[in-house]
Amino acid sequence: MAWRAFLSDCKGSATVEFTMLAIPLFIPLMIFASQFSQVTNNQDALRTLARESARAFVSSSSDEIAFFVANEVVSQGATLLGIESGSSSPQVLMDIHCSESPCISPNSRILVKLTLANRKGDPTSVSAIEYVSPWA
Amino acid sequence: MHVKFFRQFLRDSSGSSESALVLIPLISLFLIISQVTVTIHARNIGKIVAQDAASSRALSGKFLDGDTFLHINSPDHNQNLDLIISHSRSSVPSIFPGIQEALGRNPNIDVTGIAVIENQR
Repeated sequence: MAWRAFLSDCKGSATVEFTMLAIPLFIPLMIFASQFSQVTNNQDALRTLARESARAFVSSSSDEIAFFVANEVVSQGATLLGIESGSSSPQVLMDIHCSESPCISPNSRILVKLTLANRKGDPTSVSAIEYVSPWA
Repeated sequence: MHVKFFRQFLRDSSGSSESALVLIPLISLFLIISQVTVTIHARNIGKIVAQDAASSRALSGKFLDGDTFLHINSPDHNQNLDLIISHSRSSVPSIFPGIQEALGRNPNIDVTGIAVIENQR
């Protein structure tokens, strides 16, 4: 009886309507917008870092120098583009694959893959390809 | 008949609390989320513009006064690598009314783009 009276009572229906609409619809939208912002920002920054580190890699004269320079570009560029690299912050992991050995050989295809290991959620991963000059 | 109904509709106060409690907060939430979305989009566009400017200046060697440079250390002394850092600033599009007054300033989007310069400086 009390339950029926409660269901048929219209008092406070606007408040109930607001909470039933706002919480399930708009709060997840807000969370989605925030996550989307973070993911697109990280992807943009990583793509730039991958391309520029690949560019620095192929312009080097030897493998040892190339790996050193690519690491420098990633570490310095990450700070500039807002990706902090520290013990408590997300880390950028670099993986380089070469089609030839040594990597700095004429027409060698260099694939730079960067992965941002997030503490929560899936890691963001991007890659860039560059070719060493035929006259290297 | 229609005039009588319209007058009655205007005098009827039911629904006013509905508007205050549901419509106004919901529209505010909708505008806030729209503002966030538009701001994210504007920032992404700004980043593309800044990155595009950095890449084209790194290739052409035509630098601007606002550009900054960062030297990349290399064991090879003949490898002269620098990073050009281009800055782009734009104002946030205003969707939510009164946001500028609430913040007390005009919010800006500051983004940077980087590119490697090879032996041009």
